[in-house]
Amino acid sequence: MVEILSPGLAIGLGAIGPGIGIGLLVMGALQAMGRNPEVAGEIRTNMILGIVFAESIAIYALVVALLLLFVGAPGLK
Amino acid sequence: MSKLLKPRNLALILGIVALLLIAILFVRVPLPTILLPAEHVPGLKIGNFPITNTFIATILADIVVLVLGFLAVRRMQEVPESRLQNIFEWIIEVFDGMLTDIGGKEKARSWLAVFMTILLFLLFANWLELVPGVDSIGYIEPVEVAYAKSGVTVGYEKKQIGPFLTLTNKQVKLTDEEMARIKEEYKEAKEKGEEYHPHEAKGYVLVPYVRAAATDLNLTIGLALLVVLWSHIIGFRRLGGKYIRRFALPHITGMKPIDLLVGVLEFISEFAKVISLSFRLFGNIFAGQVLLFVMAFLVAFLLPVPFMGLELFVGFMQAFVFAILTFIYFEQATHSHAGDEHH
Repeated sequence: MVEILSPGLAIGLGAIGPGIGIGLLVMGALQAMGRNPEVAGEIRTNMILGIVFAESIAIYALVVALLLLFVGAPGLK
Repeated sequence: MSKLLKPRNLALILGIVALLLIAILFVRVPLPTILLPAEHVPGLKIGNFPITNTFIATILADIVVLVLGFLAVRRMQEVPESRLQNIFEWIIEVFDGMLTDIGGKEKARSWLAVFMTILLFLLFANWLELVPGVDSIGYIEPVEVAYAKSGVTVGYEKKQIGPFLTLTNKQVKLTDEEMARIKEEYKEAKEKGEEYHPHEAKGYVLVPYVRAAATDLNLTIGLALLVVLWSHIIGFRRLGGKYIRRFALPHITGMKPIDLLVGVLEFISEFAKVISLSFRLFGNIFAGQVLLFVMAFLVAFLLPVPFMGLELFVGFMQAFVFAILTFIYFEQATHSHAGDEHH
């Protein structure tokens, strides 16, 4: 039971923060693009970079989940 | 809508839908065995050093970058006529402009080569996972051997199609008694100094010859360590003794205890750099690989295509992020610290 639940919890809880973060990031970027569309290209590039950084935190959680799933933690089984 | 209803297009759409239905109902591919450590390719060794399938992918990516580079500069012209030289010049111009925006002309020029090397190498290394045959062509190994080596418990039945051996989608699971037996037999074989061979194989697993290079933590941690150490060397060469002050005795706020703490934090963040660089690349590419496996396993036709497009984007983005962070670390290392200028 624990070995099924723990990877799910790891990625599920770990994805909350980056989800909110990416939402805020895109909101800010879209507002900025709406205010001055002439620098939309530059803002988009930086937005994507920011999204990648926020996303990588979710990826850390995913790595932990995959580790739990395929390698297992000592004492879990 | 009228264009869609032309007999030829209608036949095409119906054909695709029919193929999709057939794929959902009848075509079932086995889910590849997902392993975290890279698998050794049997029979390939340099001295005592076993070759892994991710190592082969690294070499392949190297070869692609080198060959493309040589082809691009083979007949250099001031006004390029060859398409490849044009493309390369355009790529380098775009990234040169980007680096100049971040670090100024002098720094951009001195580290453009490092940036482009990392970017192009990782780009081709990441895109390798989309090439057909990578992760799907390999040798077939009894599941007992795979269990003894890395704890795989699910295998598949094999089938001969012409000269090729393939796995069917019939799953075979090892029972607890069999696992215990295999462990004992493996121990016995090891004590005798022989390689372990099961008496009869219950199922089989596929061990690919080539697997995307960044799905191996050795590559990503190695590259991240190289980059961070290199940034220290560059910082030390450019700033000399001043460089150490940011870790040992920074003057930022003028309050001694806080400055000491800042130095410690700065020191810790150097280790965090290695971890975040390596795990970001590894996690993204490994997760992408698992995603592609699972999608091909669910429906083998048409469904994986959009995810391959996503992986194309992710592969480029991760290569770019790794390279641009390398440049930013170099830039930060040579950046004279705030405490040095009195304001």
